[in-house]
Amino acid sequence: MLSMDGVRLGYWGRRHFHLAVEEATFAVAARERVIVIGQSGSGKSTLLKAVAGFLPPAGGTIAVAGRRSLAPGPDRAVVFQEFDQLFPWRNVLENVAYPLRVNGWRRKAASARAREYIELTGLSHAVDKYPHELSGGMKQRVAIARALALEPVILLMDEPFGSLDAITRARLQRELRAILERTETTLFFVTHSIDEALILGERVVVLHGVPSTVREIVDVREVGEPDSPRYAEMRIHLRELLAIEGDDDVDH
Amino acid sequence: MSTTSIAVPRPRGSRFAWGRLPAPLRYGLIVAALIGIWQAYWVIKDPSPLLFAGPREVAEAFWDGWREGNLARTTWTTLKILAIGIGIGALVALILTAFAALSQVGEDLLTILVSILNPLPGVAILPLAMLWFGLNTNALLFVIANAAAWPIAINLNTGFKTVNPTIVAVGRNIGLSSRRLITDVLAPAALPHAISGLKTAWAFGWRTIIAAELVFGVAGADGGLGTHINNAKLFLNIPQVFAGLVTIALLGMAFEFVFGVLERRTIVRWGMKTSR
Repeated sequence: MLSMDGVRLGYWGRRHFHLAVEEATFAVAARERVIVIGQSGSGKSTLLKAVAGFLPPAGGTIAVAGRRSLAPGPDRAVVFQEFDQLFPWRNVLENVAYPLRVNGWRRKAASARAREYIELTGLSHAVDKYPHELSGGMKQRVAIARALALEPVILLMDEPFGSLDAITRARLQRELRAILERTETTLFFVTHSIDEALILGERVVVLHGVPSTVREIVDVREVGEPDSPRYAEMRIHLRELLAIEGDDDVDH
Repeated sequence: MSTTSIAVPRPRGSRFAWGRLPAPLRYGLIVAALIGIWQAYWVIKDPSPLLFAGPREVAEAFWDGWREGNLARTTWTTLKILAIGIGIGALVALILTAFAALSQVGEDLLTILVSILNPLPGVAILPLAMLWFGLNTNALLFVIANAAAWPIAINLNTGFKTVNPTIVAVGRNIGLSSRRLITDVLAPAALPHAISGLKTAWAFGWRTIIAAELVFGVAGADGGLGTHINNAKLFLNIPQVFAGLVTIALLGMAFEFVFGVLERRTIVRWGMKTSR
């Protein structure tokens, strides 16, 4: 569904080209949930921006469903980390329905589908609310509903729970996993949290170094619940790959 | 953006709680008191009717002016010129800000034009405008447009520059064309600044046109409110002078009200401006 082949990414500064990702090669299969994990500055968000079409690769190729010319588009719907990613002048229903209208849906059909996805994310009681009346967690739910309603070829998420409190984050991680399993959505998810990767992912791509390379691609399908021994082992393994020292957890 | 309200404890023990009365009643009572003081001055000091007028005379003059159509006609003339002038100013501002958004030259041009022309009081260019256009509506339009264009341009430019980049990224992500990105995302995102620009433009334009009409004086049948006041003064019709001033004050209040409603229905409702 998504394939990255020798992808090289960076930004132009005033004079110099700052390389963020030196080389990334991996693929995401249809209906698979892949998490890209790396520490701050590892270029993981840059990778997501490139898939979304906001940043052309400086080398290598990115192909989504076989297509290589990647202008930003709803087939790669993005959920960002920022709470202010909703349109403040549209209420919850309109925020979800409007992108559908933009993509050729009739008003009634767009509205019905928007309600469906708002229900899926548990916000049916808030369809009339404006974003400023919602909590951070609710805003992220709306953004998720908006992205899912577009039924993207691949759903892109850039640390969507990074600004939430721990309790809300844990709840949303569980809910998102259930929704993604039900909707069979292909996921490309970027985070610095090992636990988030283990809860949501099927495979984890570990980025390492600045500029980064893919250090290892880990299968985490069988790790089980957070209290299982396999989970704990995998957690330690990922910490070692990320070269985290001491007892600090990257999550906290 | 979230609205924060701080609960201030009400002072207890006062027998009469002014703050608990409804706002229209509070304002109404103060206006009534001010008119009372005015009436008292008029009755007690008995000033010359060639210099001053009492509330009753002014109310009568106001009523006559509107009934006979004198005030209505001049008010209409002023508002029409003002609307067209601000419209031209807004158009110029829109073109300049669009140019500024698209190129560095445009941005620099806007910065320089604003810093030169914005501090200039609107009426200051009236003498030149009268030379260039003659004693007609065009001179007034030119002055108003100049007074309105710069505050609108400054605010629009800030508005477009400070649009949240995440919202723009979302707009592109959901597949908006460049045209729809402007109309559906950038325009509403810049609305708070657009409204405050328009408010300032209105305030500048309003003061400028009244002052310009006072200088202008002799526009004959086509005169506006400023002319009305000036003519009334020439004929020593002092109540009519006051009636003109009352009209100006009432219109100013009406526009404040209209802008207030507009803001409450849009940017306050959307949490883009905190209401008081």
